[in-house]
Amino acid sequence: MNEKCLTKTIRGSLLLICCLSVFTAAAQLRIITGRVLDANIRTPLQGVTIKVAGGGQAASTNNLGEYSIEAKTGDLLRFNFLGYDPVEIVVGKESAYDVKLIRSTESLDSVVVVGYGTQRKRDITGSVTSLSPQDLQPGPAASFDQMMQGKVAGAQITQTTGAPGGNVNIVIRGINSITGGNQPLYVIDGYAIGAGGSGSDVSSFNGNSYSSEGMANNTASKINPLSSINPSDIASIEILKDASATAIYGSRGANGVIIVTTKKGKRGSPTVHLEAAGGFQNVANKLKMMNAQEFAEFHAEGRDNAWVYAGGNASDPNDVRTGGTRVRPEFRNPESLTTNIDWQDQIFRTAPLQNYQLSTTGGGESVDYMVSLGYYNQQGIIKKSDFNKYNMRSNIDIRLSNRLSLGVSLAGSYTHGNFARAEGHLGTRGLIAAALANSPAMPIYQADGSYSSELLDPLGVLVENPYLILDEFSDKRNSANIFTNNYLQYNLLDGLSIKTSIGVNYVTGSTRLWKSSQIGEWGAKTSPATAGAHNSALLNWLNENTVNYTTNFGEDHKIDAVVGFTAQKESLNMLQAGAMDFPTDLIPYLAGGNVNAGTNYITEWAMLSWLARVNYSFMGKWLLTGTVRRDGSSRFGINNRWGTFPSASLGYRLSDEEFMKSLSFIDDLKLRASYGASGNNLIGNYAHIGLLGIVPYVGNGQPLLGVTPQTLANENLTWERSLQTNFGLDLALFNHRIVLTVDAYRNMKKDLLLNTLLPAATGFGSVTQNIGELENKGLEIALNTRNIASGSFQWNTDFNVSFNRNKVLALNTSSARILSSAYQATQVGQPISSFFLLEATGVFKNWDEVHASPLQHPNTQPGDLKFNDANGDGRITDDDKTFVGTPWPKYTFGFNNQFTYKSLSLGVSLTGSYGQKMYFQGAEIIMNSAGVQNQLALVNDRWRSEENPGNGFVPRAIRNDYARGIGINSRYLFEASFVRIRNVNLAYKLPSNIFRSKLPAIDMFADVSNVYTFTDYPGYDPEGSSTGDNIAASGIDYFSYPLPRTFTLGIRMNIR
Amino acid sequence: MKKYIVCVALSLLFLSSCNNFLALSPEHQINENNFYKTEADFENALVGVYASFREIYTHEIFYLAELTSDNAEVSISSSSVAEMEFDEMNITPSNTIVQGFWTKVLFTIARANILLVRLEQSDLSMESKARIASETKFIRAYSYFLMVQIFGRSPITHGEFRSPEDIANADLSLKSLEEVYTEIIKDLKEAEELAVDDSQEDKGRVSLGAIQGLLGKVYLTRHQYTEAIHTLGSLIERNVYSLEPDYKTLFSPGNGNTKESLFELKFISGFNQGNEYSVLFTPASTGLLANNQQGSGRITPSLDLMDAYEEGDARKKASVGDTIRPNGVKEYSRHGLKFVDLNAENPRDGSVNFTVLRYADVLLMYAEALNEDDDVNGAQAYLNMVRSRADLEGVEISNKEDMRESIAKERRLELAYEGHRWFDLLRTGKTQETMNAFFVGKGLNFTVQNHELIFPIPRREIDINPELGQNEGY
Repeated sequence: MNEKCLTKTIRGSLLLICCLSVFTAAAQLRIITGRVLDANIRTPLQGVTIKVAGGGQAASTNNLGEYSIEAKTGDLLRFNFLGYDPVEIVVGKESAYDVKLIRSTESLDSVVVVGYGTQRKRDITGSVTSLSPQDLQPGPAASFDQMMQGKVAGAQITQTTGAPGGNVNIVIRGINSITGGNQPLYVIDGYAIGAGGSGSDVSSFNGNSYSSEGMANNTASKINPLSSINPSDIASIEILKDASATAIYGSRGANGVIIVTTKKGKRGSPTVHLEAAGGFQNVANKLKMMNAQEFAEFHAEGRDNAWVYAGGNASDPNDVRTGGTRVRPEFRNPESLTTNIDWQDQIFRTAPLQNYQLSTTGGGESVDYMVSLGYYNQQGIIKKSDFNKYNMRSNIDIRLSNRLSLGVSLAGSYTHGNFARAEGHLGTRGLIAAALANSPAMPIYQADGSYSSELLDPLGVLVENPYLILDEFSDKRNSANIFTNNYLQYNLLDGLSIKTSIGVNYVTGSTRLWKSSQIGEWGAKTSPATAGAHNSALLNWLNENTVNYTTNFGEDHKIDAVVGFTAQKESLNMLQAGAMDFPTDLIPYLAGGNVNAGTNYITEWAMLSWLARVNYSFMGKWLLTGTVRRDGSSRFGINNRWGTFPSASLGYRLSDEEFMKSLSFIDDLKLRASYGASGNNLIGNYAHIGLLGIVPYVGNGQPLLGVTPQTLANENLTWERSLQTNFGLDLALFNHRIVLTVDAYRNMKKDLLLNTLLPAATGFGSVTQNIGELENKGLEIALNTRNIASGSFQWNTDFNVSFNRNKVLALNTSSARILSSAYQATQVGQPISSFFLLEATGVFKNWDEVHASPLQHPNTQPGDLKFNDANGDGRITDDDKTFVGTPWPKYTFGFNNQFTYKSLSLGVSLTGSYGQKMYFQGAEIIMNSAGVQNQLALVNDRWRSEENPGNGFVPRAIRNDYARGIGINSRYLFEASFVRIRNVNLAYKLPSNIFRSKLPAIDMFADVSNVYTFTDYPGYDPEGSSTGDNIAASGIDYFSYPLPRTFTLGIRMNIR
Repeated sequence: MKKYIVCVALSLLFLSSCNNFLALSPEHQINENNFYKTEADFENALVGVYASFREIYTHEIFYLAELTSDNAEVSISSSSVAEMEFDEMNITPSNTIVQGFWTKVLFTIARANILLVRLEQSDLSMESKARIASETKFIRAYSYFLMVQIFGRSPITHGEFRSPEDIANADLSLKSLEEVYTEIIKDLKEAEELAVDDSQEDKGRVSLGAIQGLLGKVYLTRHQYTEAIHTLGSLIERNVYSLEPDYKTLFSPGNGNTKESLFELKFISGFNQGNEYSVLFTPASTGLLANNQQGSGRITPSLDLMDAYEEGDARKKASVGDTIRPNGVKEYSRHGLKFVDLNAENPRDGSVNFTVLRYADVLLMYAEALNEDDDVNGAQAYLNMVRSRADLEGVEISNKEDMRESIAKERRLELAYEGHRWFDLLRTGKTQETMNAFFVGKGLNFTVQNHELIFPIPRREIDINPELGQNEGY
């Protein structure tokens, strides 16, 4: 099919349309009128387009739902309205026709995208949640994943960082893997782009910036890869949760599948959609820190106690004390302090945000198109951080002939931004830690105008001025994404079609890091300047070939089948470099220094798959689905390279039975059951191969490279298998005023990919093996109700709640304990990555309590922390670490309300999560009671004396860790349950009659996101986690970039 | 229809080459199938073994042999639990530093094993095989020697593990002290036989002298004095090594390949190949290191060590100090100076080489062996060689017990901060006596109990393989 041919076809169709117009003009036209109402709530619908088929008149309804259009008998009138199923009527003798439209989402005939095809909602037998644009959070967002929060039963969606463009984790039906990835598979318009995560764990980011080697290898990602998909382009998102739905994705389906479908062109005259929004953000929750007076008192107390501990007297002057126990003279008299700075105000700001979207859709006889452009700009609430995004997309479908069609989807995005050195310890110059720990009594500037800092002051807080960190470190990133997927489809016979597609996803990323010599480490004021640069290019191609067959046998039997073959390969080319020895700080590039560290490598995977699915329906009442996929993957050992993943499911529409017909309030009742297998292949590309690594050494005064075995070969390595059982119920009552979906599931994970620890005598630390089992079981309930639907006032509610229990059933040995972080361990009988810590049970209030307790340190005294002697040996040692909670919620929920009064609507969304804990690593600094850094104000409630024992939780201030008060223990572990007012959105639909012209739909909206969070968690945000998409180390907050509260105003316009 | 056929044909074509399509291996990394072929490969693997061995000396050895002893103590308040356990001699199986030591030593042994197995299978010349085998066996023997002194037992392995099944079928149990020493002596004798050079220019490589020095040390530790005298004597007689006149040069930048060095671990700065000694042995305060940098205060000298030096001992100034100048003001703060580079731009990237075995050690070992063999006079001569280099008068002792004490004291001061103290105390049976007195002297109620002379088997290892069994008392 060449261009000429295409033009011909278009011309031909145009001609045809002209002819038809001439023909229709000859008949008798008259005025047809009527009203269009919502089928359920019987309210008038405004802005419904009515068209005479064949290109005649067009009209739209007014705010009373009334229309009037010229047509003649025999004409076909098409009623179209976004979010509703289209309706066609044939004009008869009457001249008035009232029409009722059914909302697409509730209509059982609406189509749901599933893997390799679509299904009617009524025929679905698996567990699938479908979101339309109306369901997504209305305010502007950098990526669609954060808009899904609180909308999907069974998915725990966590925004771990407030950094613009930052990471969002989606965990479907509980954490699934200890060593393998836990991200779902993302499928964009049929193209499986892979699991979302990209290595955004920033917990060691700062520490890696002090050598050229560290800079070269500091590849933690800070741009959410899913931000390349423009939220405004999305037509629907389907979340596939059980094996019946995911098994068609075989070895990649076990963590669930998220299918994103972008908007397509629609036949009809062009519609231009314009959206513009702007607003600002500020920090949603500032921590309450000690003021200068409280800090001075605390500082003196901590040092006096340490000096007394060392054998001195609290009244001793500084010159007889040792360094760490000396007290700033002016802090002896806190009232005299005049400076009182909240350093948080120095790093945070109110930051603007803007979002512009322009798109047009339309189509003719042979070509449908959707073209969009988007620009998004967000300044960070931490100074000097920002994020910019440009998106373009064209989806074009062309009918070459009755049987042959082809489609082109082309999308590009470019993001760039500046990122903050927000997280981490103040010793490695984490910005937030520096701001919180800094002395509130220190002025910002010295007398000479330079930044002040107590870093070199033996009596000061060993922390750098946050302004210096802002000035002397930079992290610039950009990423470009080009995605194209093209198909050719041929209908061999009615019901039999073949389709072949080929697509390419090309993603490049570039990072430039710079740390000037002014940023030192720990107590060093300065350190050699370093720079790093990373360039990545990822090429992923996919070829899919499928055959679809749909047929009916008689009236009652319907079959819909697909078989296919796919091939996919990905190649990532990384170039990393680091430089040191900069003669000056003037050139913040590699070029300014001595490039002496780096690497370049290509890492690849390839996959071949066969797939098949059959849907069989008997009288529309009994529904059967069977799928199978066979995958071969380069990631696994030669002995286990191919795996088969089958599933079967059954649906029974009880409401279609005769005996149910009398219960007329039941619109729909369907029971579902499914069982099947899917897999998880998210491990490194070459885990099965025995590799040798380069180790540096020194010979003859020169660096020398040696070689040493690094990984043990395991040719039996294969996927994790997930055996999933799901029982579901769909119920709709009272004309869909109540719609309920309930799913109960049990996922058994076998052959877990585990880094089995090896005895050191083998020369290897661990090997990835298929050992172990775990279980996730849970219950999901989604309830949509139309509470009030009287006339002009409506109130709709969507509520969903998900319960999940995770339990490890087997590891390589029954006593094996896998440490997923310094704070978390996985053990049989416990959920994955449970917190495993020395359990602080309070503070010794007096000597009696000390004497009555197990032996701690020989010098333990009142005011010190009390620990649980978990192993009961009468001593407190590291062997007393015990399980003290998990980062996994017992349940999560979303509660979304929509109130509509005439043209005004108000949406209020709540999300919540209960039962999880968060290790506030930052509290090791700002709650450590050491008498050094500034503390949370709640440390004012510390133990001070037997008479004044505080809240029984915060130990006495002392600059000595003999009593384990400062180091890691459970007192930094907090309940992180929360209820969040996620979003409040007020929208006003302008009445169309204020414009005489055909500008039917203008919406104005005001939106507040992250409005307020009810929680006991003392950090910035109970979801903030510095471990990013390292889901197995979730729940560790080392001052994660706080979530902003966002206020936006915007306008949306549809021009026809 | 044609297209359909083409599609199917294409698919079949794909399938036929499936296994090639899916057989990907990392082009940027060496794998076991394409390595161990040429002499250069083996040379690289040998460097890998040296690099593994050097890891033990990044910090663990100083916790195990110095911080445990009366030489050193922690001087910061925020030390880790593992560090405090060393300082207070209350080491538990979960001690991360002991775990690190165990892992690094056994990794070195395993890597040496692979190299030796592959070397045997290779078609390298006899000469090359001998040289590489000699060096590798020395490293393996040294590693076992460290294992057995610290843990009293060790797994003994010889093979290469190529799959999880190999490991499941291997005997990784802990062998007795006797068996381990048999293994060590066998390795060292073979290494001695295969060693081609008497002494190499490059002291970073194992030479005959290093092998004999270690063998002598092993015999001494076993109280096999005749063998020790024979081995160390022949080493001394060959006259290849001598004492450096200036003690300080042994521990300052540029200390590579001295006449006194038998075997050393190499470091350079500027290539991420330096050591952290400058931070490890110095206080967590500015005023000592260049560029306002701080040390860590983790292994700083005890007052007991500072006071042990005789008046006029030239070694004191080179080994320890007690004055720093934060903000130019003089302050008392003890610190180690050996292997510390006070002028390093980045003190975590120090360039001073670490000497594992040196001639002064050999002389003192020889003196010890002679004395134990009742040749007090002979011992005195060698002891005084070491003393005279330190600008000290020679001793005149005729009593074996007094000589024993003098040698012990000399060893402590001569070799302080070089990773010997704990082992010397163990060998001479003085650990508890010395350490308990040390704690009393500091006014602390810590003690070294009988079972604490042998360290606990790391908890991780017992978790993986409970059959190992914990050492008594833990």
